[in-house]
Amino acid sequence: MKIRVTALFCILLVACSIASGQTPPTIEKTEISGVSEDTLSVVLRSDLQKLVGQSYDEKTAAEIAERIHTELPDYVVTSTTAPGTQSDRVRLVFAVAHNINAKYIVESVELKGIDKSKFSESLWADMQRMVGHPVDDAAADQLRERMAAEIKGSHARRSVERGSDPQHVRIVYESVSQTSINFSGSGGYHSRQKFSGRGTVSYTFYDFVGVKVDGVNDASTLTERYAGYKYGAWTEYKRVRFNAEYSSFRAQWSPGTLQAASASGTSADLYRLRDTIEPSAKITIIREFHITLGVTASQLQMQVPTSHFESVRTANGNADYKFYLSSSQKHQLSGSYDIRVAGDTLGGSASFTRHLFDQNYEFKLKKPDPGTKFTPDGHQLDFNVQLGRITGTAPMFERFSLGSTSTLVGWNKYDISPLGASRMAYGAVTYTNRYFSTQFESGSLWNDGQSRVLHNAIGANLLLGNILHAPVAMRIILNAARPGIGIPLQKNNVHPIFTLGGNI
Amino acid sequence: MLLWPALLSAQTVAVKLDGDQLRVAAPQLHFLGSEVLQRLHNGIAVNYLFKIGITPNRYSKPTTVTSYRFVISYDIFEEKFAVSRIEPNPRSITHLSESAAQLWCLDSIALSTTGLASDQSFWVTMEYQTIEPKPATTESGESLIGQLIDVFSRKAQREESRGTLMGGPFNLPDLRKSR
Repeated sequence: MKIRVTALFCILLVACSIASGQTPPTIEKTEISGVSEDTLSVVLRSDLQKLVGQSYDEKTAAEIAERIHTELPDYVVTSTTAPGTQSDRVRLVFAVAHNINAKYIVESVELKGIDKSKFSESLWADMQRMVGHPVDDAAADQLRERMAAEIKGSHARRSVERGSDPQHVRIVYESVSQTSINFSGSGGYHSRQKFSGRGTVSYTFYDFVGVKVDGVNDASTLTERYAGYKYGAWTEYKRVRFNAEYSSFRAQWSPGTLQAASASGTSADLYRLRDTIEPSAKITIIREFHITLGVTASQLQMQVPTSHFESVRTANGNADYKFYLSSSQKHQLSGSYDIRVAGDTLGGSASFTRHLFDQNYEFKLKKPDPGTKFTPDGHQLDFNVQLGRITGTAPMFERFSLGSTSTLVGWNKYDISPLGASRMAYGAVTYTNRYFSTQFESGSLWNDGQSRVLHNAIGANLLLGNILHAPVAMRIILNAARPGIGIPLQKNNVHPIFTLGGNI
Repeated sequence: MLLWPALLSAQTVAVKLDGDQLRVAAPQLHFLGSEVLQRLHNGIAVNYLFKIGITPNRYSKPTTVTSYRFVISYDIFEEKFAVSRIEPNPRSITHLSESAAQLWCLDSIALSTTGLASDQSFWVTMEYQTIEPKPATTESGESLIGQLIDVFSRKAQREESRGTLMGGPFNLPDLRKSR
């Protein structure tokens, strides 16, 4: 018994001596978080450097923290350690911040109530970069704003929670969905095609379901001017958004189109009313890449030879993407490929296949702060290419058209191809800065077997709000109005086109 | 609109003379509201702006205004408050209780009596509000209307918690007697 007690005592003694003899970790590096090190005096910076290579001592660290506080009295200064590159080394971090929690090291960054696929990979990577460093309020809030911007219709909230390790915290981003009613509108004016406009009212219930009503009067997008309403409803579950739309539009044909149809004997293709049902499912593969699948059933009220109805049914597929080519986000590539197929299997009177390939490259010459859509800043170059092809006989609303407020400005689409066309090639280079944008466009429309005629145009738009240095709200309105001119590049009969607004 | 003294229902503020400085006291004031406390307990720092001014009477605009900016945070491990006074005269303090943090802010606030005539009676108004840091420019407003809504709703988002206190009439001889 006595021997056992003696042995136990010896073991405890050895354990205690080992514990008391444990050397404190060596300071591998000293860091200042929250402010630039340059804000400290030279002497203090020098003393910070002298700590490197020394054993960590809590009292010395506290003294240095107090000296930093003396030099920066409005900040709370605390010292903390983070693991170094080796187990016996630490990084000595002085957290200088207004938020006392800046002294804690971020253990993890987590999401609550939101799927990671909803926002970009680069944002998620930037969030994860905070791990292992003290809490930086400014950086964390900037990421919250980016998240809120990427997840449209939601507010993002940030919190700092205790981590599983002492002195470690978790940063939690939470998407706060909400019920909302949104009103939006857009419009444009083309001196030959006159006004186009769209008004939208949408209601979203907790990011789960939503309904939308559009009122449209559009002479810009298609060969016809069409006016009417579109009703839509959607519901979203994880990565899939189911959407159903019903629209009813009355078509109005320009004299140019009526004349051309009469001359070519295709007056029977012109309809008076167009009612469409369009269910679809949009699948988010990753945030930057989506695939949409759906069907469209349209009923057309024809006028010639007598009033009657014809139906057009198509199966639709669309793939769209948008991503940055560099971490600086100066180079952005985006685009889509759209296919519509109408045939015997689906029923309907039309049989055709329509392909549209639309690619865009954006080069921001000035970062950060490119501004927004209606308050642009910096210098930006855009390259856009669109290629379209239709095989079979497509109805008028599927045929391609160029010469509007957004494509080949300077030309009137009724002068290029009043009946639209089954082939389309278009390219544009646009330069935008704070005060104006200017573009060169080139495009051609033709039908199978016809010769191609290339139409070129140059144009410019003024950003009046920025030019006049108007107050914010007025600046947005004036910039959205963006008065512009488009000039067709041809030898004779050069009539410029004047525009206001843009895409609807 | 700030320091507009026409809020008859405002809480009262008391003052005492400390040299040539007027110091405020508002024992009933708890400017850390439940929503602000929730944010603090979530580890988020909250910015406060206090503006204190002197008015010749209850209904006129303040003749002199002094601004004070504080940042309050809450240590989620130690469960204590920290306060930084950003301006004027930067200072900071840690390990405070909720009431001590509020008291430290109010104790920091002072107003110079220079320029006040001894026989002139005056009122003191104090207004406080939380200030949200200015958000970075984002592409959130896709549509024209959306951007305009962003612009007009920004102010309301920033000013979540605010209040006005008013006290008076005071005059310097009476305040000197009560020192």
